[in-house]
Amino acid sequence: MERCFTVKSCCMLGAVSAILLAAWTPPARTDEIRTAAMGNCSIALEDRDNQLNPYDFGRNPAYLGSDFDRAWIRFLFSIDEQKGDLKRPFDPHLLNNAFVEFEGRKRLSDRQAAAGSFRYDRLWQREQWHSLELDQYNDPFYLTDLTTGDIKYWGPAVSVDYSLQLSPKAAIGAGFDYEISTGLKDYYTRPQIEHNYAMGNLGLILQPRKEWQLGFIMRPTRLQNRTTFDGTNENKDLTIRRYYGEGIYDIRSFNTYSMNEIMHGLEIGVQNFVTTDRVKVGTIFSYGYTENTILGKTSPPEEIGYWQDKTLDFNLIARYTPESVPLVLGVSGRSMNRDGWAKRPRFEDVILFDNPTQLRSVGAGASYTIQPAGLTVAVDYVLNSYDIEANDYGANNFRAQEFIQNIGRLGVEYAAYNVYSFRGGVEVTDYVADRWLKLPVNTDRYRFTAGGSYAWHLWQVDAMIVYGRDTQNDTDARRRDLGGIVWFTHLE
Amino acid sequence: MRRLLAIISVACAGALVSSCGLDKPDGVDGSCVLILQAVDTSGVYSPDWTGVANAKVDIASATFAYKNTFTTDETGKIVLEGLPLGDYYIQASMRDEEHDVLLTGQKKKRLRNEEQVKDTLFMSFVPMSPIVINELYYAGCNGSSFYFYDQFVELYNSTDDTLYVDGFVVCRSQQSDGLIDLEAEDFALAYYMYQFPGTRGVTRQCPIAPKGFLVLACDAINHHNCGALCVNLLNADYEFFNAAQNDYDNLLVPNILPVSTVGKDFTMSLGHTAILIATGEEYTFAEYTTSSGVSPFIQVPLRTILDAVEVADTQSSTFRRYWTLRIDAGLGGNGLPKYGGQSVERKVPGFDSNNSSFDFDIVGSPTPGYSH
Repeated sequence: MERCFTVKSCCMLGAVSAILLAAWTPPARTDEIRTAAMGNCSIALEDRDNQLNPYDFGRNPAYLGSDFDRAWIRFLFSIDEQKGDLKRPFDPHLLNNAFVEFEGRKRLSDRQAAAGSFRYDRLWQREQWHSLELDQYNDPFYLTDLTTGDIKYWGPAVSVDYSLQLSPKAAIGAGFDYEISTGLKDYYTRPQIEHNYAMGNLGLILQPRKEWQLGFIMRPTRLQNRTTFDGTNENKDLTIRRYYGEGIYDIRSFNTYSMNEIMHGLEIGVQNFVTTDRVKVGTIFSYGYTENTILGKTSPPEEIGYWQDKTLDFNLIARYTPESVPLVLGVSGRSMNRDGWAKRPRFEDVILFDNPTQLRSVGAGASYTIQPAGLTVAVDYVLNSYDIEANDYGANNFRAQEFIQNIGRLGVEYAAYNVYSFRGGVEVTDYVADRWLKLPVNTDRYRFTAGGSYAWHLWQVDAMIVYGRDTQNDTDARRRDLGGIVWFTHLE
Repeated sequence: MRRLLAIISVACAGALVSSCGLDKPDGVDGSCVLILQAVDTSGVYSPDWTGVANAKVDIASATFAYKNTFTTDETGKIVLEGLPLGDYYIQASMRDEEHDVLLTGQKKKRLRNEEQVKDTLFMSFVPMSPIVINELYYAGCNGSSFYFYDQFVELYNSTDDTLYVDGFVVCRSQQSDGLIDLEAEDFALAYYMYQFPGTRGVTRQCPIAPKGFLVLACDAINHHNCGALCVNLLNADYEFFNAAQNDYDNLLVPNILPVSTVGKDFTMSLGHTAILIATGEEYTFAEYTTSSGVSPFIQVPLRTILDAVEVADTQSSTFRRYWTLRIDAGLGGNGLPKYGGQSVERKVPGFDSNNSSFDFDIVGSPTPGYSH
């Protein structure tokens, strides 16, 4: 499920919250609290952090300098809690996430700019059934014990982007994300779960013509999740199950043990932006590749699982601003093909699990600002067509779903005197998509958002709360979400 | 600018190529088909080798947790579909209730990426051992850290007569990787050997009542005082006692004394252990060079062995066995945690197909002197 319905995105929680097949291309780090508070309207809603440029749409660090308008520092705090039984089996019954963060953006010289953030997270997975991983659903290999307990993760995350303007027509950029966290389960088998994620972010921007920008992105990633068992106070041996898909498992009984999951990946993207007075078009074509190796603790380490994921993704957003009307019209499109497969390396070259996913998406949006009343109304509609298969050959369990997902968004903002504003919105998702097809079919999601901001001298305070609710017609089970986030931004 | 674009294009293409990784395989797991024919080779029911109809076929994976039971058709054939790759123990059995005998055949199969694998299970009568190991409690309890002194071995007399185990030996194996080719030798390699009092066939000091049990304790004391899950062995029938090693001795319980010269007591490994009972009529001392130097072992001829059991908490495809498949074809105890106060017990007292994978279950609390 989504880590939180607030606006910050982070990999650790993103890992936990994979129910929604989110955009492959990560959003810019300076997230959009304004658009988030307006029901997540994003197709046609113009915002300082939601522009059609290579940084806001694709996080190309080379464009950071061009995207820079002024320096600021920010402190923010967020808390979010999801609870309910409308979930996948290994999702926690209650997920509580809180973090504090400092972030800022600064121009270092005429040609250089930098942005950075430091966050400290606490992720609390309560009533976690059997699962012994931060994200049980990141591949078909997982660990379980036979108990239900709480797992609490603590850890920092840092993120840095830097850009250097080489010439009026070229810029380069570099950045990285790094996060580390340690989770402890409070009940037998009491594992320690270490999560370690690093991503490099290299970018290049070329401007062959005044109205055309070309961007290149390369993102190597490395993710390591290690689950370690060091005995318990119960004074008895530990028994776990190592799953290879949903049907094949072996039982391990031991005093100490660890399992390591190391993922290497690379994403390469090409961005195109065409900007005229009335029309802006942005596209991203990206290719992503990840390779996950699951190692058991032996000497030398025993490779017990292999998972590979390839993604071809094309994203498009276009906006049109008619002359003399405070209206923005937008369209979006997306085509994504993802193919993941797994095998057991100890055996011959055969597929254990196959997970092809196809997404075709079109969307349209509009935003209208009534002046001088300061009222902005935005609407989005996105139609996603999914074709997902989850073929577990080891368990002889084959699932397939081909479905249409409708997403509707409505956002309203009232802003006055450039001092304060009030925002509200709603987002309805008809049929939440789950890559592994473990979520009950046709689960619907309703999200209601509200927020506001207040500017005082060089300070600006932004706040947002969100209430979400997942429902499904064939069951009484529900899942609710309540969260909030507050920004304190100091402009320089 | 063109040069820069060209460099970028080449770099991107190179990165794409280098990131391709492994090719997606063509074949799929879980598609193995095993066709088995169970054939009666005993010549008792028919002078020819014929298919055994309605034979029970047990299959258990040696590499992961999978067990299932099937029944052969009227021709003795069975088709098992959808099996994942791996190593499997397969056993066909047919019990003749009238004569109380067991017709059985076993095999270990390695299934790989082939369309179909055909094989024959040759079934014959297994001489029903009159005395079998009925329960093994070896994995320790929660008395304190690393408390495992309440181990015991339980024997069972499956006949209707009183039997005597005078002079019989109880042995434990030791990890002996590569010391002998288990399947090529006609003996089992014991590390500990303890012997009952008396002389086989001469004295009658050690009886087992018909359908009765004998509990052989490591230390015959009330271990329950040390931990809630520990076993009270005050009522054990015999106690392993090593006088040379300051071993505890309950004077009210008769002793079984060491023949071997190693170890302090008849303790069993908690993760992987192998026990046998033999008549003790013949055995040979031998020295083998192990990684820790020269060690004394005892060769126990297979023909003298009444029953052997091998258990391990964890199995894998690279697992090293202690006993030959001829005395125990499969491992029991998979998943039994150390210090959990649990034991492995025969599903049905006296039922012995020489395959601990199928014959034994993990039980929640040990039952010295009786069966669940």
